[in-house]
Amino acid sequence: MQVFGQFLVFASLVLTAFVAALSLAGAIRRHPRWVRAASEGVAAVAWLNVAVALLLTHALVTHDFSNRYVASYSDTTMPAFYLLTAFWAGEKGALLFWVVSLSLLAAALERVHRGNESAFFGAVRSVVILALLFFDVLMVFASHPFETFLTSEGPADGSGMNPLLQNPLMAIHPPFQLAGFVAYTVPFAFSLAALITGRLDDSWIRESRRWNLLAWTLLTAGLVIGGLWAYVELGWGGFWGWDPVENAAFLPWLSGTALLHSTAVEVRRGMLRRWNHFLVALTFLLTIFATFLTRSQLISSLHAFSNSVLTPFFMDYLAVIALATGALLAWRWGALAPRERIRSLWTREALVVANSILFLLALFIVLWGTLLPKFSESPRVQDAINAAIGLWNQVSGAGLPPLRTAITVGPEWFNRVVAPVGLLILGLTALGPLVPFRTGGREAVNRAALRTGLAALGATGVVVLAYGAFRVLRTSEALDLPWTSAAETFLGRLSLPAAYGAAGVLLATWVILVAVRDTIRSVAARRAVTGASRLRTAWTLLRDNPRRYGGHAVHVGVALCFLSFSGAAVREERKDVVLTPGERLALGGEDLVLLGTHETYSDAGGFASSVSEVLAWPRGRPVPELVRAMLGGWPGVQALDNGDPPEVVLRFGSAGEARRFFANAFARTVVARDFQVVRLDRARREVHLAPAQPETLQVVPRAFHRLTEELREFVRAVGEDLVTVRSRRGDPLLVLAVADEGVFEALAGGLDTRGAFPVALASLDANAPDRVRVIPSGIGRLLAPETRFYPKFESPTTEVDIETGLLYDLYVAAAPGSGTRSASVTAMVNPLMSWLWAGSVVLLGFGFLLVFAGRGLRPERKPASAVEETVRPVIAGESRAS
Amino acid sequence: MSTFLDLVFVLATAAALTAALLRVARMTHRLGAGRER
Repeated sequence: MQVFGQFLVFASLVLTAFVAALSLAGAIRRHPRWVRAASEGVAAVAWLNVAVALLLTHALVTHDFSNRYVASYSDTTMPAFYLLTAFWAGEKGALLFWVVSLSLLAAALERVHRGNESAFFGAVRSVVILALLFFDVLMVFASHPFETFLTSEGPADGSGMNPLLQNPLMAIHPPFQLAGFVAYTVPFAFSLAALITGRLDDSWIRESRRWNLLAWTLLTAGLVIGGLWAYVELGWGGFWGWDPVENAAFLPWLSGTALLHSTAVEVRRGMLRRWNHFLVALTFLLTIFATFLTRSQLISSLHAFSNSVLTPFFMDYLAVIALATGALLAWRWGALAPRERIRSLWTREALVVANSILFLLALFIVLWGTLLPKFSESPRVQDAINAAIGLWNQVSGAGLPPLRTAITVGPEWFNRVVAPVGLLILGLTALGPLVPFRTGGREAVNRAALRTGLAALGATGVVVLAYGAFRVLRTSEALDLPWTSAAETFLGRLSLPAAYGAAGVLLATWVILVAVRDTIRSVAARRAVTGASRLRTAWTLLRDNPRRYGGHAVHVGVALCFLSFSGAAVREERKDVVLTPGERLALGGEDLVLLGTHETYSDAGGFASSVSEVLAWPRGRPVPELVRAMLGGWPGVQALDNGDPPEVVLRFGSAGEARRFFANAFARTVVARDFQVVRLDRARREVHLAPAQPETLQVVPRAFHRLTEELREFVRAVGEDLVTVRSRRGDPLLVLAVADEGVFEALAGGLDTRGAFPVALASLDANAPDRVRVIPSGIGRLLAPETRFYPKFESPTTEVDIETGLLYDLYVAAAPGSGTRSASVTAMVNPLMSWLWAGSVVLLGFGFLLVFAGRGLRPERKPASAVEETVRPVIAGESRAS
Repeated sequence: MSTFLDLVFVLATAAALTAALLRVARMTHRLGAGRER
């Protein structure tokens, strides 16, 4: 089967090369027969590559470990879903995914341009096929997906997939990310075709506009899903860590976003024509660079899951493309001169130029921060820097120490430096849609900008004051300070991120106000003529003028994301502590109580997992009366004392009664969960216990120690004269021997009974022997973060538990502590996190809608502005922006 | 289970290959077509 795969991959290479030759020759010689044949050939290549993909998928799902790739990235215990996603878990599969998606994209392009035999489209096709050919060559000669083992049939079982990747989000993040990269080939091909054929009007932009938007939306989706994965899987509480590969994927996004905006200027004003060709080439190069960085170990990174032999290929490819594009651009430089000039800085085109500059500035900062550690590693670079430092020291007299190690920059550096650029861009996002092209802002526009700006300022003032008051009150409450000194502490601790946060709220609100105001006014104006419903009118507007109203919608999504970033900027509450059962942790307005830790084994996933149960309780809120009544009515309970909620203290008639209740509770909560009863010896008053799930102990042997310790803890609480625990070396059997008959009966009774028990955790009060402190069950919100252990992988992975809220997320990660019954808990309050995901949904939803609505990916015949011109007189209003 | 999977994949791969071959046939046809002209 693998030989067949090798044959098909090779056939695909030969066919692609042939089609590329046909396409090129057809385009150059203007030979219609060759062009038509190449057009068919593109579809043939696509189908052939689909067959190749099916073969690899088949090898994965049927565990054909004679295939090296299958043996390296899957095993027999993996769930079927992850077997499918193992397709893109490694380099070879990802490369095949690239080839398949690019050939499918080429076929789709061919389909929407059916019958187009122009020299221009011939050039577009040739560029796309040549790009495909490069990856085909790479796949066949450097990284073959159907490689087999030289001397054997392959191992009996594969090595499995990195558990970090076994997450539904990680399963879909790579295809989006890669498809986004791949899709930028199309706009690049259109640009190159325009340069080659000399069709230098704006038609290349209009025909590739939807493809450009598609690539951008896919890339954005890839980044968002990657961020969400980092948030729920990595356990450090953030979504973006400025990891080199995150940065590498962010770079084409920055230039691609600049491109989306600057192309509009060329269509409307005939300006920025060289710039657009430059930007699209830059974006394409950066997608290749990002792939190369992901797959190489040039910079050590979380994503470098494999070592690669592809580095030289990528370097050469990048160089060839850069040189070719540069030469073409130089050749057409004169012909690409702007047709008009910017008349004023207060026009849309000027703002778009500013937008481009800022995006490129951000790009440069991120690129610099990513590559600097690599450059400064080299002794020659260090020597050069030290020479400069020495010179500076001589001139200024400063005693700067020489550089001895590589310069590294952390996430704080990126946040500090990129945030102001991001805020400036956000400001442009608010202003841009207000200010019209060509004529620039007149009085009405200025008034609109001022009004919306003031409204945003007012709203921000309210938000900032409310937030400040909330923090001050909480501090004064928590530390028992008068509010004045709490306010002083609060103000004294305000820092630059807080200022960024406030600015983010201001500008994001402004963006939303501008977009909503313009949409509402346009809807009202159109309804005055047509009388259609509001929703229908909004849809018509979006359809007729997607640039303007779709842009508004996407901007609102971006603004929501920025509101979330503002929340992240003031994030303060994070605690890392080791807790034992019953211990609590104060976080924000909540008390988090650790109820316990236990192990489970997942047959489907093939992993053992330590689950910590954490109860979240709004601090000080009393336990509901119904629950208290239930506890009070328990046999033997004489009265309820107030503990620290959610704790309740049960008072019994005697110490013996309390002890018996405690034994009963222990049997029903701890023993029932962690053990199975092997034998109940009533004559000797012994309980023989074995671990509930022996499989877990094979994966996590030290869990047995915890189980023993649980019993010892019980013995210590009840008294060693009454209960003893025995275990034999090498035997997973534990014996509880009880001297006291009452305690034994309570324990045995607890093991016998089934059904609800109103107590989640009980402990004997050491100072007052007739009292038992309990935490009622079924109250509060239960969070259950896990640590998973996979037999084949050394390091465990975290599964955090997140309680998502409108204002903040409660984020809890936990790992079994080094102490036997403890768990080390990381808990934090993440303000406005859900807004990021909501904003992303808006952004991506409208992104995809704008790509596929109406004519879809078919080339636009008429510029959108033509429709606008007919609508404009109808929309009588001060804002003539579009 | 395994035979069923095999069958599904064999059919799907065969379909994709047939489509590819069909396109190759059309490609060669187009290359030839017009030679008479």
